[in-house]
Amino acid sequence: MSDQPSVPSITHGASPVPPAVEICDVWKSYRTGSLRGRTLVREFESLWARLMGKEDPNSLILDRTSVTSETAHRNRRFWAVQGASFSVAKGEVVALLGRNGAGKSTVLQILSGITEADKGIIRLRGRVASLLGAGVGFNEEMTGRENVYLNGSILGMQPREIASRMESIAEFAEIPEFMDTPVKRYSTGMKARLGFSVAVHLSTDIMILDEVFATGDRIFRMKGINKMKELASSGRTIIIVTHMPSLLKGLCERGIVMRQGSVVFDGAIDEAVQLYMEKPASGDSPSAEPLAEGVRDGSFHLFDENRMPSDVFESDGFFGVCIEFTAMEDFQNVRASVEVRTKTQGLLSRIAPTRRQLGKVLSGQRVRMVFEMKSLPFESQNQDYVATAQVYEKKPDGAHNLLKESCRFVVDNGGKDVKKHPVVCQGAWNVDLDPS
Amino acid sequence: MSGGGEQAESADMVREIRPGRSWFHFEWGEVWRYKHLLYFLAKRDLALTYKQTLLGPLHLVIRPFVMTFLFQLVFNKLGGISTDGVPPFLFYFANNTAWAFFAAVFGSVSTVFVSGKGLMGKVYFPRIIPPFASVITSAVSLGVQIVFLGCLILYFFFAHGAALPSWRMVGMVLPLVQLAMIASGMGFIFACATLKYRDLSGLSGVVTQGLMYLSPIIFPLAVVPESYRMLAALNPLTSAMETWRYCLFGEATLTAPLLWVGWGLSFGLFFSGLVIFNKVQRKFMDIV
Repeated sequence: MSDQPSVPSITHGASPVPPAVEICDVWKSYRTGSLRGRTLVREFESLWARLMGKEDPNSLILDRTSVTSETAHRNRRFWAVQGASFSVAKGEVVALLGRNGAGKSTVLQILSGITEADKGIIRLRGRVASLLGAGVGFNEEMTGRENVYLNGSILGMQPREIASRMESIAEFAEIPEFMDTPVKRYSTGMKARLGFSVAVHLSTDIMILDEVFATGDRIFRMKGINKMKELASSGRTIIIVTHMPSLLKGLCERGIVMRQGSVVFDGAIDEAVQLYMEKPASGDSPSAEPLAEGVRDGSFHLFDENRMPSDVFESDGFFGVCIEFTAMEDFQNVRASVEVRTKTQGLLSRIAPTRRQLGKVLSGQRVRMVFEMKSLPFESQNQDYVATAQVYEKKPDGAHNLLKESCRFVVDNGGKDVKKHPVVCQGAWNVDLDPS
Repeated sequence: MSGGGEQAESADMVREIRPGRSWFHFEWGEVWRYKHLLYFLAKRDLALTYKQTLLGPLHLVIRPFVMTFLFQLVFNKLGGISTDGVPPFLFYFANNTAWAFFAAVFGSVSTVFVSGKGLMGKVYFPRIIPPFASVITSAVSLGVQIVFLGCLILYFFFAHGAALPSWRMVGMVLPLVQLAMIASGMGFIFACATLKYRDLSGLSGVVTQGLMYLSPIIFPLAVVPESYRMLAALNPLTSAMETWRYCLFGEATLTAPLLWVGWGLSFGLFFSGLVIFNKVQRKFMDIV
């Protein structure tokens, strides 16, 4: 550690103990867009072309037409993390928030050693376990008990530790009687509970968790959150990533918000959640569709019956969506739709546009469109739902997209097993022009 | 906050991750901490292979038996290739056993990034563990086959008066270790190369098959003319296979230069493969 004076150390608060996790000016880029080097044959083609003084057949069109090679070069690198720095004190539970592509998953991957940063230093005091998804490496053919051994050892536990915790792992997952049954006979919920249970029984000093709360079983989730609190109070450091920050209320006190690869906020969790929920849609993340010209300050969020932004809803309960944007030019025939999907089931439901939904919008008008449902027609799943809002202008030659934005949410069923087939969403759009 | 002060204060271990570590930076401590994972991964692989299969581990025996019959028919009966004074069936069965081990290790190590992608992208553990676990899995299959080989040797000894089983057989561990080193070294290099150039993965079958014909599997080194022996020695598999048969039957063409070159190349392949793998694994998730 003699060669570190150039590295700034960040301390949070006036803690005399060095932080458990320190991230100093971390940068990470990915190559994008380049076709070069996918196969050896292509590589030889490129080499041959260069030797013969011909144009590289595998270069991007961009390379050939771009004004300078500098822009072409820049286009091939995507900076997923751009100088992120923060530190986490021992025993602290911190939420890392950010939209898709904000760089938080990359930060976690670097922290846990899955990939390496291009620049910057990470200092970890204590043993680290990362769990980017619960139940990783479960083998269907093996029994629950065997899988706990496998999963535990993947996460760096010693067999003796696993054996001594086996009973409480089974107890916590609520499946003590099925521990010797092959995992392929388990329900999705049982598998998720077992995976989560192994994770919370880890004995490492630093825990890095990604989306482990994405379970529809509310009672079990509360149990998990309580267990996390218990772990934190016994001195464990926890960094947790989720798309559903309302799950974290009462667990974390501090939130870090990332946007476009940088830390934009580091402070109280409530403020962090607010900042994360009420974000502008425009160009916030590379995965979001760019807004059309003529639309500004677009946003899309889900809300609960108290009209508060939320991402946890109950089956048969209230569900609201809200789309907002400002028109910068006149539009004749504007429509909006919201589609709900899950990864495995695909399209579940479509809140269809109605005929007299929005129609004409004039330049300068602020538009707010709200759709409320008294009874959410989705069953609880052990996965995320994704709602995608789309605003478009209908023209004779087809639909022109003005806004497209997605939100993720979970559906609770309070522990019951609800079997329900999704139906068409009932309700009406409520359009508000120039809301105060 | 000074570096010295931190170290004095914190009794916990401090791990620094910084980019651009050298090619030879191995985290052996981490590997040691995860040693049990070797066992559990190997166990999982075995469960995956043999649970809910009709014949289960019987496949391990059927395959070399069939191959041995075919080899004996084609190369010995039709081709008239000598088998160094060893009963042809025994000769081919022994060679097949060793070769199956080599091919299994090479096959699983060279595809380790592809097969382990799901796991490696989600959890950190030393990436060197899965390839070594697959070596263990292959070694278990090898063990079963060696038991059958032992039975065959005894049968041929009593029924046909073939070579007496002797203390030499203990030495067969050495050529097997050598085979594992060559196979995993080549596998590491192949795994890294296919990560960058996907079209190379189609070559692995050709490589295995080509090597089989270039190594003394279907023929003993004794049938190779003197003038080509040095060339054959450049294939480290030659010395491994000759040693293997020497240990089993006491019949082989072994010379000191053959052994030196063979072991030298084996170590070279293994460690260069290990170094390349270690370098590439740090960023492989970005490429996959």
